[in-house]
Amino acid sequence: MFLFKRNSSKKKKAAAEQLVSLSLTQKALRSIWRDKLTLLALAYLVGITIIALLAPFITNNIMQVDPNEPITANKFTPPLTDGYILGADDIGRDQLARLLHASGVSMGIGFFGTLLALCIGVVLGMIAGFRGGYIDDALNWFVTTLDSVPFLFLLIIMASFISFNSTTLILVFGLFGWFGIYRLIRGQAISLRHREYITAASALGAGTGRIIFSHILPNLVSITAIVLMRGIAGLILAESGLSFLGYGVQPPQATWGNMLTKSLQFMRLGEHLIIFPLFMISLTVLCFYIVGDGIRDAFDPTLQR
Amino acid sequence: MSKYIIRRLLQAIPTVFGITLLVFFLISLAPGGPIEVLAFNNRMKPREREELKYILGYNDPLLVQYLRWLAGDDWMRWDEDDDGLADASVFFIDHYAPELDEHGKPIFDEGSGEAVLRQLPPGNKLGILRGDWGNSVYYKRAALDVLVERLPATLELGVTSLVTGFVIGIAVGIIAAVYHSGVFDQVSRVGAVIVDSVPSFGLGLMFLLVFAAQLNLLPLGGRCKTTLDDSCPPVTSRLEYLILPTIVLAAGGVSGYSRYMRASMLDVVSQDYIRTARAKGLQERLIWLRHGVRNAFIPIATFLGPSLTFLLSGAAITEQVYSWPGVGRLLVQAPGRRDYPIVMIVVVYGALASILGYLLSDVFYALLDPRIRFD
Amino acid sequence: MRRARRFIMFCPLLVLALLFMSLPALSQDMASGGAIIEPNFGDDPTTFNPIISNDGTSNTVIARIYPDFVGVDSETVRYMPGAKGALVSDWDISEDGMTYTFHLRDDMVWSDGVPITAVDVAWFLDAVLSGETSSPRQELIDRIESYEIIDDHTLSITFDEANCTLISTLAPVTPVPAHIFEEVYGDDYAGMDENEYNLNPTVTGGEAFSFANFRPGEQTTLLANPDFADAEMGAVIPEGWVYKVVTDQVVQMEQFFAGELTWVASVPQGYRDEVKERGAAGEFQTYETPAGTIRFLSLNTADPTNPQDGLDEDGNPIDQGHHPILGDARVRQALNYGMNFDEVNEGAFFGTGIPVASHVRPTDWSFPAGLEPYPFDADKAMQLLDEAGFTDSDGDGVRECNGCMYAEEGAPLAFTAKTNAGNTSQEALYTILQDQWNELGFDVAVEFVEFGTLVSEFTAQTYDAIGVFWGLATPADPNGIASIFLPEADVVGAGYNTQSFNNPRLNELIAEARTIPGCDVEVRKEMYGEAYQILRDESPWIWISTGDVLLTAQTNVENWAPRAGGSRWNIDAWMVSEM
Repeated sequence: MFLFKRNSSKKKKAAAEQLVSLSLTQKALRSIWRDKLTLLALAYLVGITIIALLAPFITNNIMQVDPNEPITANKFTPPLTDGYILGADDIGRDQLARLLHASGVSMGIGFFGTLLALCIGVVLGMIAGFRGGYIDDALNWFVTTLDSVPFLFLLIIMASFISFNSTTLILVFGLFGWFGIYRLIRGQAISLRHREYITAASALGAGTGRIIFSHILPNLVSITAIVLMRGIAGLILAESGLSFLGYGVQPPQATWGNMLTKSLQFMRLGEHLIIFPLFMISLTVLCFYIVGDGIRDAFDPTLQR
Repeated sequence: MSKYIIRRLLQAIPTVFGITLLVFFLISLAPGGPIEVLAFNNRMKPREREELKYILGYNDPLLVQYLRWLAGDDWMRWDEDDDGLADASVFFIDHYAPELDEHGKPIFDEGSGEAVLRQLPPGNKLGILRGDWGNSVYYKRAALDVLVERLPATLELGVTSLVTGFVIGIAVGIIAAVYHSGVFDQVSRVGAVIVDSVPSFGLGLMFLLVFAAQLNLLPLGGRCKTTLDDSCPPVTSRLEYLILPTIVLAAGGVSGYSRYMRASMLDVVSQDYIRTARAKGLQERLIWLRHGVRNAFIPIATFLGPSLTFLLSGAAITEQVYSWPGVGRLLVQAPGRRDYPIVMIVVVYGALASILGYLLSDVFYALLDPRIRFD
Repeated sequence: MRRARRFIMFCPLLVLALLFMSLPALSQDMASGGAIIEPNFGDDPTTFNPIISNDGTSNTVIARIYPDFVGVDSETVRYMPGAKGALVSDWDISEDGMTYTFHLRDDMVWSDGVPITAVDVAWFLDAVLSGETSSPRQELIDRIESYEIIDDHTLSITFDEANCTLISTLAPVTPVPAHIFEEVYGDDYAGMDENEYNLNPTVTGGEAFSFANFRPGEQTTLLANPDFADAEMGAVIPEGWVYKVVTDQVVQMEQFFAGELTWVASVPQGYRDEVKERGAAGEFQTYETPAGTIRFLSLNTADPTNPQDGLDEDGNPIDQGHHPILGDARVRQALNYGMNFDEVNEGAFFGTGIPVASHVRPTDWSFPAGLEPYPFDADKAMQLLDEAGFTDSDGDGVRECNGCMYAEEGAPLAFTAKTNAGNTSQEALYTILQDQWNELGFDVAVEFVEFGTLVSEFTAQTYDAIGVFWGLATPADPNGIASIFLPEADVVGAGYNTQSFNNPRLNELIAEARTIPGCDVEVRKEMYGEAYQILRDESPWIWISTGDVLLTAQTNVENWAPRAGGSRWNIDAWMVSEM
């Protein structure tokens, strides 16, 4: 705290504000530290992310299996049998290896899709909120229009001319998923625009870009964190729903959604092929929700104890 | 009030317009378009296919095609001398097209080197603004008719789910807020998030397998008992068919509403005027009901719009799992068949429903919040 | 507040009132013969008008409510005079083989009592031959020169040529109630699609059922036809037939297990073992029959970057270039030798697949004795690839062109196989094939593509290899290969010879076998046998497999006796008793 004060002594007004915002962050961090459920969920997410990133290494070097190599003699092997920890699928591919690879794809789609949406939403929301006028009107019209089409309907229209793979899904999720974020940011920007410290900063001669970066963005950290968490969760679910309708990512690329959808047909032959992907989707989505809620509670001043 | 509603309706016009633009241009990105489907039979010769493209206007600029879809082409190209062929047209399209050879390529006059022309039939489309959405490629009848056939089932499920989600969600939210930090509060919060985390088709199938297949308590999908009768009995005598799909579809609503209602109530009761009421010695229960619930309702009212959009998306999946004869299922099958008229009408219908939802939200909000005035 | 309370008290009353109003609907019950409830795994029928019907679901319903013109005998699986449910009792062929005189039965009536006569056949022919309907019956338009109504029960049809498949050409012909159709449709054949009568045919007849109603997205309902002349038991036993839409396979099977469905015409693969076991234990009736489809992988032999038609205006072949990899027959053969069918069968078809070498089955008359599927022989495959000039010179496991015929020097032995997405067994099949072929030194990419897109690419002839299904005709039509491998069918964007195959000897054989005077079965069999051998050896398609379909019914269905020639052939005798 002391160190911080000295560093920013040049611009007192701004520094004071940053202090408040940072100490709010610190309070929030402390509150998250106390929230064991959120911590547990966070730990799971960090763990699964690391595993997802290391999936190729794990399957190649540790497990030494090719997730896409069919060994038909071993199809529907139950878990913990013949070296298959989570069993084998309908053409004898190792389910654990596929789930590991799939976690990278499913979570990657969710993460990058949301990130893209977040970038677009934040930038356009800022522009609309700060500039106002015609730009704001035009963007609002655009957003209202697109937002009134149910998201799944939009995806199905696009399935008419795109066959979805991880890249196209990220693009589509990003390009058509930023409306909620845009609204939030725009609203925040409008209300912030009128706050005193912003007026003061611009009176002191700070440029718009500088104001946005040093004053507004820190205030949005909690919102973006919440949006990111809920967004990733939503996209993981959307990907699986799209797979169920037959428009999702196509094999051999494994995703949790297409693994689950496919095994529904073999319900009677290999329940493990349904349980594990369903469990992965639900648990991961649940953890994202919990972490999102945890962050929200932590930053909510009315809930601070 | 009516002035306010009219103003909101007028504001919705550019949105509707935007949706038609969006849908049309997205579909025009699709390769081939409806022609491809018509052409996939040995019978159609390249020349017929190309001629059809001229008649249907696929060679016109995209903007003209959009206008044709929106407003029809009976006023663009018409027949003045009753010979069945168009002999006049508005300035931006032609009423003639090149004569084609058997490969579908234009024939050029050997002397002048110009294309040999022939008259096209007069325009016969009315455009979507006049209710002409074209014929479904697959069902071979008016896309509008196909949609209307499926609407009752969707409305049935949609309204039930919306109301169920709302009622249960609000109730759970209120109880959780009144006894906040209690057991019910904790259980309902965690329960809501868990239900939200399972993919809806997984949830739907799970319920179906447990409650219908294993326990034999509820029917295995469908909208009513399969009999030789010519229609389903009234909805009240077959509520058991609605239960599972409604639960699945309302699950998201329940968890959303309960969380916001809880938060909203807690927010309200921490306000000053509630403290005043308490200080005046008002009974705790009355405070919660009279002040808390009423004021907490206000932000909830704005949820109708988004939850309708959400519901429509969910319906597409739920209807597929439960063989429910609704609109969502119609859309799911359409892109694979290149049935663009169906895709377009269902998407525009979905968007209109959401716009209506947003509109109603605003009206409710205005009704509930005394601070908003209508003029 | 008080008003609200009063409203709340009123609510239960309202619900009660609604319940009371709906009571009569609850009391309806099914009668003695029971209702046959059959799942329709897919979508609604689109029309009940046989003139324009173009999809399997619609045809399934139409076949239950309209008589056939010429019929297939369910036992011999051949077109036979006097087949059940067919209007034609017998036919004579003129000396020149071009005019057929059909004698019609006089005991069939429409549901309004009007007899079914030659006029009803003529109405169908008039509509189709006008060429204005949207119905794809080009074969009829091409072949039929003229027809003549000789009397109410005699009709002659003259064709443009004498060929051996004329009777099967007439398969789509369906008598329609002329007196009603005339009134409803008039002569506006082109506008037929939009007529509401298509989905609400009031007069049907000549088959076991008559049309009752259609509920979009839910079910099509037919009721027993009391006038059905060919009923096995003298009268139609089941009270009705419901074709019920079920959109999810899991749900479909659960409904069957719960006894809600009378029978299932095709048990999904994931349930086959279970149904068979429980069938053996007496829980269900089961029956296995050869599938009506063949899986194939079409190999594009021509240059996919520059698709061309097979023939020019004068009927001369156009040079279409060669596919760099698949243009060489030896590479195509290597793919065949490199397919380990046993592994494919086990992995993708649960052991139910049957290897094939052509589109005819051993039970079909044109099946030649010596026609064998390729054996699995990896050495032979590699040897063929070596001969074709594809060797692995850099040791990366993928062969490159070193003196091959059509690819550039050094180009890898790579191609993309595409198949329809969303079909689990196709996914499994091509994942396994990819693995097997890559072991030979191929670099095969597999893509699962949405069906519509796949069809566009297929007809545009811009693909390397596309694998889908071929739905076979019943009875098998040996001439079916004509529309797939003759250069006339190689039309970019429209024809089915998308692999641009052109083999002069094959063209000759197909033409001769079709039109040979006298239609001697043995001679034709020999010609088709040679044609099939050419197709197998040259391999423009890899014939992958056919299979069996498992049918199952509840044990309370009496007289359920599917045959290869039709699972519903005696549906009029099925008796569904109370469980």
